[in-house]
Amino acid sequence: MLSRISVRGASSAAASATASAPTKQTHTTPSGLIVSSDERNGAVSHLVLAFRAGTRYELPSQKGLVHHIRNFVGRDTNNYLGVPLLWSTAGTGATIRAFATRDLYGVTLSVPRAEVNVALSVLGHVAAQPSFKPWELVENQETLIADLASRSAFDFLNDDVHRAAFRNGGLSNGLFAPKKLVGTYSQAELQGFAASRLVSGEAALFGINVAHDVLANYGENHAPLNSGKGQPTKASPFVGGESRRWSSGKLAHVLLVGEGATISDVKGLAAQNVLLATLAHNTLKYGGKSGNGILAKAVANEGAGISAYQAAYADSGIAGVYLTVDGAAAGSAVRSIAKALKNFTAGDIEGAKALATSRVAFGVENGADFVIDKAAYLLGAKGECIMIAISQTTKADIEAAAKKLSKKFALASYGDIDHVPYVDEL
Amino acid sequence: MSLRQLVRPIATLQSSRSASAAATKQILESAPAAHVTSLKNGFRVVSEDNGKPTVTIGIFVENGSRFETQQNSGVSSFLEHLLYKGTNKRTQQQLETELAGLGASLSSETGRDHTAYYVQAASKDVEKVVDIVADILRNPKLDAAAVEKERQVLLNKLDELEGNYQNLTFDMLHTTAFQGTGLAHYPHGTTKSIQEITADQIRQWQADNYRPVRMVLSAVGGGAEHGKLVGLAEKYFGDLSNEYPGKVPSDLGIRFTGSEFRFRNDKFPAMFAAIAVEGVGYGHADALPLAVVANGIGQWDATHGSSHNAPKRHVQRLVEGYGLHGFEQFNINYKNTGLWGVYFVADGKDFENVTNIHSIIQKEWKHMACALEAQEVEGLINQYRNRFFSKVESNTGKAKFNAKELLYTGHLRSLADVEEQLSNLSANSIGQAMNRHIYDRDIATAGVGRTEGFPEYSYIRQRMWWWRL
Repeated sequence: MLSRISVRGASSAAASATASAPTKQTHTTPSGLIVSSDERNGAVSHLVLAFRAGTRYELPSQKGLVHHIRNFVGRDTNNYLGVPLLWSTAGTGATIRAFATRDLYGVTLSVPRAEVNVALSVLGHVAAQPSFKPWELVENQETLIADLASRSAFDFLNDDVHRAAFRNGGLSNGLFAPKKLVGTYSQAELQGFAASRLVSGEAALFGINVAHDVLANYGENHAPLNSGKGQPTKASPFVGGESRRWSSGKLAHVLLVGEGATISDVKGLAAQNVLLATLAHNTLKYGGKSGNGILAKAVANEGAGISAYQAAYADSGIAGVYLTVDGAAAGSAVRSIAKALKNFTAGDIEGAKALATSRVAFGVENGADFVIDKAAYLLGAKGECIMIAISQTTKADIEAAAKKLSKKFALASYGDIDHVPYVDEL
Repeated sequence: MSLRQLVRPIATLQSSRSASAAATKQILESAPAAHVTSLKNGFRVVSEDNGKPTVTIGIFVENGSRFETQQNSGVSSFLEHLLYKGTNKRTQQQLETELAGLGASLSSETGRDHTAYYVQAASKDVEKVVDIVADILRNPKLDAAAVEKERQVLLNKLDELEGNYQNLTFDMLHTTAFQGTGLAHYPHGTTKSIQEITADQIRQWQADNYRPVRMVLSAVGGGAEHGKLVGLAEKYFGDLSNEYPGKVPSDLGIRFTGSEFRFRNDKFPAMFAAIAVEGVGYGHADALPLAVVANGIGQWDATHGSSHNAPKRHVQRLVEGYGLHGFEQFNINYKNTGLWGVYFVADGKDFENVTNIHSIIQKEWKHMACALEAQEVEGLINQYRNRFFSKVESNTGKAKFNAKELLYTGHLRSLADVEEQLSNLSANSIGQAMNRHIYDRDIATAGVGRTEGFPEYSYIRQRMWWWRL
């Protein structure tokens, strides 16, 4: 079956990708495609073909274009019709998922390892050769409308906080297409974007439980990738700001973030992960609503639910917390969080380091999700192992990360937000 | 199948296929083996040392709502919540700090016939983790203040569950399908029972249910060395006796009743429906073929990438304007019975539409029972391989699998055994299993929300068989 994920990789654990294992191999083919593999001796192969073609590469006149392209995965391609491609993957038992983040667009595929060759040959066509037939444009429109209709509060916040944090930079582009632009892109425009971004110099092919030479052979000789290199994008630095969206319901949902680490900055990412572990974590499933951590304690009286949030990109990043709280108590909750962040001093950090380390380790376990994080890492980073970096993190590093984070905020709120303070009041 | 032929040319590397199929088995056979030991008191330990940096350690207890009564409905989950509230040695805060210091986290779940507690931790902390879990299970404080506080939490949770239509539908389905037996009870209890359960009843429940023959310690990950874990189990659980101070837990037997349940409320946003036959128990010989077919029925909703072009006949038909929002197969295996069917959400505006949704699903079931082709079977088995082997990739997934095997069947299949069983399935054996359990069997249906257009029992029941085969 074919399904889509939009937000993955944007938030959660981009960090986990840097965990190293001895069985992994990486090399770059002459065409610029990065090929990487990781043998875990499992029965299911997880593959990903990803491109630096996320929403940040949309031109100002192209908002939502990548969402359209993502939803085209599974339809006709330049060389084969969509139906036979899908039906042949069904025979192999494969699961295909299309995804888009701000940095990346791509397709993941999980399949029993004995079928990996067939599945691999399909992967390249569905991911890299969409043909956007004119008569498919209307059908595709319906799927975008369904996506927009099923957005959760978090989905809204996640897009809004990027808009606030990166203002007019490329990273402010939403993962979801604006409603009024659904179905407005022509075949030529979609093809133009694909031709400029879905090329070998912008791509990475990663596989778990697949022989490296099989992947390399496919990447070098068989993958239907147009060769070339895309234009580099303009940097999109953190600026900070605010986005508010009123909606019915009793709860206020708030994302409060500041400047975070980039994917390449492994040391900074490590410090950020340790910092987030000290701010909010939930080690007991039924331990109470707020969980544990400095910020959790700051809002325990308001009965708020709180969890850490981070999104790391090739050249920029944000980190902070996601808060859900009764609308009436939102004012004091948000204020106490901002205050706690500004006055942060690191206490004993050994526990937080252990938490950050194990989070990274757990993030690696699930192959189907891990491949997206890994693709982001392969296409965006030049770092070393984050586990080691975490173990070397010092109090000073964490306090520096907290300082950076609290220097200027970006705030997005959704729901019953009349009591949520404006960002300039924090 | 001509469609498939079209794709063949792009499968450039296909010649190595059979070789790699053998390699899969080889890989599974060389996977780290799980070892099982039963202590003198019947407490079982299963462990698998895979050398990863992380480990999952779980205790699985056979208890749950099917052993409860109307009066103490929900007591299993009440107890589960309370075990987080501190022990005679550690307060909840200490527990939290200690686990956080190890980078570990404690989680749990209570279903109708088991409760599982598991800790995810770093591989070097196996001993500390077992010490913590044992303390939680053996010395819970269960003090009156905590009970009252948690009672409120559970009552709030019950309120929240009312808006969880899927959960509501499955509760109704169990209520009707297993009426008069323990499986009809709700795992989260009722408002009345949660209000009335006393601390003593909870203590009594633990004394009668958390007995060594009903418990399994399952550890998977780095540092899960068997000898060490057996030693730890002996130290912490070896003294547990098999006496039942109160009453021996009983599940009131098994009885599946072909029946229907409607809970109409037009203020709900849609019609939520489930149709099921009685499935099989976890250890039943037909459990695997039925799981393979159920998995092949699959899942779809409006945000899926494939609909009219989906690689499944019934999905292509179901999306043709019957007002379907989504559907999902389910295959629940309890110890000695199960539920097998489909859950779906539709706008339910029209009787014809709802009937058609049922018919299309049932037609596919009948196809699987009577007309499977070898090539289809290969696809079905591969789809199941993908799902099953992905699920046991993580330490926690594998620990749950191992524990369930022991708790439900008393012995343990390795992944290579499962692969062997899968590769032995054929169109014939799947068809036979379908004929034994699905074809022309009584059904239980549940409808919640906008159910005006829900067809009555006999209307759906007669679609469980065909005039012609």
